[in-house]
Order: sequence, then C-alpha cells, then structure tokens
Amino acid sequence: MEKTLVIEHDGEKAVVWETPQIFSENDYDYEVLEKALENTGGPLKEWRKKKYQEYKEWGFPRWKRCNLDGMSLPELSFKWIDLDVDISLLERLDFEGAHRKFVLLGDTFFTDFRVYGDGKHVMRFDGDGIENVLVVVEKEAEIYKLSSTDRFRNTVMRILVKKNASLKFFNLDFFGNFSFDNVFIVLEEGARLVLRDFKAFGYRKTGHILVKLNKSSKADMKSFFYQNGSGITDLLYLMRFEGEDAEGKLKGNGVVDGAGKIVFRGILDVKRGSKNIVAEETEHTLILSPNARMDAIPSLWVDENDVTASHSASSSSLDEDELFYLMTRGVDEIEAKKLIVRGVFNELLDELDESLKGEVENVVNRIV
Amino acid sequence: MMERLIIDDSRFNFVPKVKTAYKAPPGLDEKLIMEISRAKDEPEWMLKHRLESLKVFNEWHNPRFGVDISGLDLGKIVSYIKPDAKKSTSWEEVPEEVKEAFDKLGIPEAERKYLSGVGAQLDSEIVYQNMKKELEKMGVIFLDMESAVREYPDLVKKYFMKLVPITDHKFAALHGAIWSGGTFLYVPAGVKIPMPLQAYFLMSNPGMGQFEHTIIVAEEGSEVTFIEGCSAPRYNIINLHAGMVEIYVKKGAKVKYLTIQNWSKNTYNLNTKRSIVDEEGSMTWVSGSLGSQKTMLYPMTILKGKGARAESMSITYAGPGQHMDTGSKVVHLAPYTSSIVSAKSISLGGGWAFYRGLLKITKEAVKSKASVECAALMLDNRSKSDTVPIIEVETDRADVGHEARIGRIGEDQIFYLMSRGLSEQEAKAMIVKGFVEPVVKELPFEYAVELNKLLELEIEKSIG
Repeated sequence: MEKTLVIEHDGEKAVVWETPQIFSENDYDYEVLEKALENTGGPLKEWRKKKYQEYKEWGFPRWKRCNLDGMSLPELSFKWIDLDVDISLLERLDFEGAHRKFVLLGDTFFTDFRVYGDGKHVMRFDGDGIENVLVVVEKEAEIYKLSSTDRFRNTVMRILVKKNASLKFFNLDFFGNFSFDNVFIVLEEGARLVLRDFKAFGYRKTGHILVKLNKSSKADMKSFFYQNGSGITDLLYLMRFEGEDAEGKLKGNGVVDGAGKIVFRGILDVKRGSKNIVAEETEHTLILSPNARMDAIPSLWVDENDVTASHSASSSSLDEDELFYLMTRGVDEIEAKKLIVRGVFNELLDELDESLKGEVENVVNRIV
Repeated sequence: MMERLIIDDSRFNFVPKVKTAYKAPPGLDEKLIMEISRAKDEPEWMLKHRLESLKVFNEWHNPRFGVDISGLDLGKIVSYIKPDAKKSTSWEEVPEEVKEAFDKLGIPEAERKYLSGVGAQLDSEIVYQNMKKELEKMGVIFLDMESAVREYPDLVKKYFMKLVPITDHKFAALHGAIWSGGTFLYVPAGVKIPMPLQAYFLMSNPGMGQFEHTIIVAEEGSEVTFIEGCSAPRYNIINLHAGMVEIYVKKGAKVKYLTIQNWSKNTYNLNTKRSIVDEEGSMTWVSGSLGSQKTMLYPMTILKGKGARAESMSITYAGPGQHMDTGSKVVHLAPYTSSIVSAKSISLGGGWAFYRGLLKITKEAVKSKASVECAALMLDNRSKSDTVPIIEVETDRADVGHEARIGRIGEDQIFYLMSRGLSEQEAKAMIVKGFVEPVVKELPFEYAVELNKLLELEIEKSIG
C-alpha cells in the first residue's frame, strides 16, 4: 500500500502526527455490504468482502484543517456490476489516499466501477455516489472526469501509465456538500502525464493526488481551485520521484472569497537514487475577502543530493496597481475584478476540449 | 487573544487528561522538588510553580511530531539535579572527540574545563565585575536567575513562564519543575547597552546550563544584544538539554539574540524560545545549531503591537548520526507587522536536517508583510533534507511569500575548485563556508572565527 508520508531516514524515524478517528454508528455495516455483494459478480465480489474487513477497522478522520462535522453517508443503491478486473493490479495500485478510510470506502461500497484503457473517455458523475475507476494506459489516452456532487461523493482512481505511454487527464470537480477525491497515478519509465485539476465550490472538498515518477517520466500538473461561502477545500498533491532523469512540475493557482478556506499541500518527495531529476512547485492564492483564509504547506522531502528541487507559495489580495490600470482603461472596478479573477482560470479554459468548454465556462462564470 | 498569551493563571491549574506516555523517573517527586527549592532559598510561589509543573509533566504526552526521543535517559536527571549532588565529572570522562575538538580549535585550558563541565569558574571574573558596574549605573539588572528570583521576586514573577506556560509541551513542564541557572536581564526604558552581553559570564556552576531559564525584558525604547552559548562543543553530563528563553520586547525596543548551540553528540536538545514584541519593537534571532544528537527547536516570535518586526536567521548543521528538527515560528497579531525568516541547513555524512516552520497572519494583521526563505545544502546522497513550512493567512490584506530550494554541490563545482589546487575536502568546506556566510557575518568576530573552524572540522570528520 502506497503510504502518503513515510518520514524516516536510515532506520531513524520521525514522530508523525496521527489523525484522530471518529467511529460512527451510522457507518456502513455488514447489512449494506450484503446488498452490495448481491449486486456484484466476478472477482470484485471477493475483493469487496476482503476490503470490508479492513474498512470496519477504520474510523473517519478528524482533520485539523478540514473538519467534517455534519457529514452523513448517503443511502446507497447498487446496480449490477460484473467486470473481469485484474485484482492483483488493483492491489498493486493500492494507496492511502486522503485518508485510508476513504480509499477503503471506495473499494468496498462503490456504486459504480469503471475500467478504461487507451483512447478518449469522458466520465460524468452527478448527484451522490461512490465511484471506483481503474485506468491502464498502454499507449495514449485522454480522460475527462466531470463530477458534480449533490450531498456526498467519494472517488477512488487508480491509474497506471505504462512505459513510454502518455495520458492527458482533466479532473473537474464541482459543488456538493462533502466530496473526497483520491487519485493514485503511477508513471512507468518514460511515461508522460498532463494533469489539470479543477475544484470549485462545495462545502468540504478534499483532493488527494499522488503521482509516482519512475525513470525519465514526466508530469506536468496544474491545479485550479475556488472556494467561497464557509466552504473548505483541502488539496494535496504529491510527486514521488523514484527514478533518474524524471521531471515533475506542479503549478497551483486559485481564488478564495467569502469566509472560504483553501488548504494547499504540495509535496515533492525525492527518493535516494533519483539522480538528475527536476522537481518544481509553485502556488499562489488570490484572497478576495477579509474573512477568507489560506493555509499553504509546501513540503520538500529530499534523500538525494543530485537534484534540482524548489517550491514556493504565496498569497495576495487583488493587486491595486493592476486594478488601477484597468480602471484607467475605462473598465469599472467590478468589471476589473472580474477580469483579474477570470484570468486565473483562463489557462484551464484554453486547454479544454471544445465539447466541454461550455460546461466549465459556466462554472467559471458563476465564480465571477 | 493576547490575555491568553501573556498572563492567565488559570492555565496553571489545568490538569490535562491525556494518556501518559511514560512516568517520570523514580525519584523525581515532590520531595526532591521541595529539596531543590529549599536549597536555592526560593520564595513560596516558585516552589508552587515547580510542583504544578511536575504534575503536568507526569501527565502530559510526548510531542506528537518531530524526532524520536525514545533513547532519552530521564533516569539520570534525578541524581543530577539533587541539591547535594556533586556536579562535576572528571576530565577523564570527557569524550575523546570533544577533547580533540578543543585541541584543534585552540581553546585555552581553563575554558576547556569549563565547557566540558569539569572546571569551576572562568577567569573572567574581573571583566565581569567591571562590566557589572557600568551596567548598574545604567539601571540594568543582569543576574543569574537564582539570584534574580531572590533579589527581585516580584519582577521575576511578572515574567517567569508567562510566555511559555508549563502546559505548552511536556518538556516545558519538566523545565518548569527542575529549571536551574540561566540569566535574568532587565533593561530599563531608553537604555541602549553598547556591548553585547554574554550568558557565559553568569554560568558559575559547571553543567548548570542544561535546564537554564533566561528572561530578557527590554523596556520601552531600549536596545540590547545578547549572546548565548559558545561555538566550541559542550559536553553534557546527562543527555538532555531542556532550556527556555522568554523575551519581552516593549514598545520601540530592539533585542538581538545570538546563539550557537553545540552540545556534544549524545545530547537531546529540546529547547523552547519565545519572544513577544510590542508596538514598533524589533526582535532578531540569529541561531546556529550544530551539536546534539537530536534537536527540536522552534524559536517563536509573537508580533503583538502595531508595526512590530521580527527577523530570524538560522543555520542548522546535520552531520553523521544527527537528526535536527528546527524552524522558526512567527505569529502576526497586529497591523503593519513584518517578518523575515531565512533558514539554511547543511546535511552531510548521513545527517538529517528537517525544517519545520510556522507563519501565521491573523485577521488583525492587515498590511503586514512576511517572507520565509529556506535553503538546504546536501553534500552527499546518504543525507536527508526536508522542508515543511506551514503558512496560515487569515486576511486578504497581507503580502506573504515563501520559497525553498535544495541545492547540490555539483561535481563540476568541486572539480573546478580542485583544478585550482584545493583538495576535495577543502573545496567542499569552501562551498559550505560561502553558504553560511550571511549568518556568520552577524556573529561577533571570535564566534565567527570559531564557527568557521568548527565547520571545517566537522566536514573533515565526515568526509575524510
């Protein structure tokens, strides 16, 4: 199982904060599992059973920066799923996720299971649900995932990009009370990844994306986020370097308004032997309201000296000079603010496929 | 918010209900604490404080982050802190590597014995007496902490462990119970002390610097530079150093605190340093952490008054077998406050340097500016360098930035220097010296020289 943080060095361990857990009576129990099993065929049936054994040992996390007060699990309706899934691959790509509980939730109680290979795929998840997705890219794939949540959503995605293959992945996630997005991507030797992650609105929105980079692989990641109201968006991006000559770049850009809060964790984890890699991370948050908040935790974990690694994080309010300039050009203040905010998300819109642009543009319009 | 940070006696009555990680070593009990207090001829409130602290220590959990402290030998504390204990060890017991370092640094005989906890007082008595007269004329109080508790009980009480309450963490509680030695420095309003003051002069008892408590109060408009510790290695009798520093910077005052920590490599250095700065005041920390086996140290500055400023420059060195967990904490509580943090670390020979910082800008701190810069130099790939700065911003009207980078010494750099006639070791030492230069520059001359020599020595040891 791929753990998120492994803080040790030559047998010397650091003390790591352990998230307290909440065990709830309303958690899914054996009865719910039975319903799920009734609707499952093939190897996934046994797998569900096995995962439940671990699932029931865990409580839900009580996070410091993103409390889940008021969260309740939805009533689940299972549809018949019978897929010939390679269970050993699922296990090989097992991971901790935003919290182990949520990955196990996705593995045990999924209401939808998808398997994708090469080609272009568009996934849409609306309303409430628990999804599990396995992607294996042999040569080339383009994946668009659009989630629009109502009350509760939990997604687990395992992605394997094979040797010299390439994946373009747009992960778009809007609205909802509680949503948890757990993604684990393994890039084999020479593999390429372009990832665009956009999370907007929602009461509690958690994103966890772990990318493992093997020799000569390349990841180009951009994160866009928006939060307002009393919502909290808690994002974690981790690039783990496990081979020479790899290159990973992460750029985070977003806006927080109202009494919203953004937590941005960008982690670069360079394992010993990953010589000659390039690891870069930058993050900027535009804070628009006196009640809005940002927590930035950029981290570098480096076991190898022959690397180039850097990170930066910053926050600012609207640039008064910029505003002033726009106003001298005849744009009024509100319009000028809109222009600046839109500018943050333009980069994403520009790269989007025409067929999806409209939908995402609607979300951006709601922001401004 | 502020009341909670400064004076809140109810905090001392707090009985935590947390699972005990381990009990105090047998013998560390109320009876012993009372003995210590009696031997020091302390007022009643100090005894009460010690007993409260002991209670918290016994019930509090270990830190839930940072270095692994399971190798800590708390059992030795009891025999060490007993009032009738013979504190000096013999010169023979001082580890070879420490003696060797003294030799190479060319430290005089008397000082060697002092640093290793063997000798009695230094020959600095006369210098100190002269200085004392000058300071007295200015109204400055510069005393060892025990004397200050007896001679200025009310003044000490007003500040003692008010910035770092005993419930701050387990080792703050331990410190509160068994503290011994340290410095009390009170600078009256408007007084600008022309020379840097050194803690050095006040440590009359060998080994007493392991649980020392330092308080600096800089009244309105005053200025002082304080130097703690020495750059030569200091041998520890027990393997724990849990000191505490509390600094009160009043309106418009300026305090600069320089410290070079170089405890011997058997020490767990779990130190707490905190400063609170009023309107237009300024606090500067310059720290070097070289010694110890494991360190957890996060000097904190609370910018409480409008326009207060903080600066922190640090260099952390992690050599073979060392795990150094250090970082700066700055909390902005008022408008127009500013802070600059510059943290550098060097890891080599398998050492582990971990930067863990906090920068917090509260809602009230509008128009504030803050920057954090971390730079790490790794000399080989057996070592590890981690950086985790936490930034919390609660206002839209502040300017906050953070940057970090991990640098390498490229083969080409070494090759170039070697082609100019330097040995590999000299080349690496030169690059390291260049890297730490901004911090060294801040130090008084004799410290700068010693620190440079020491770095050479350490690099020689881990490469050669």
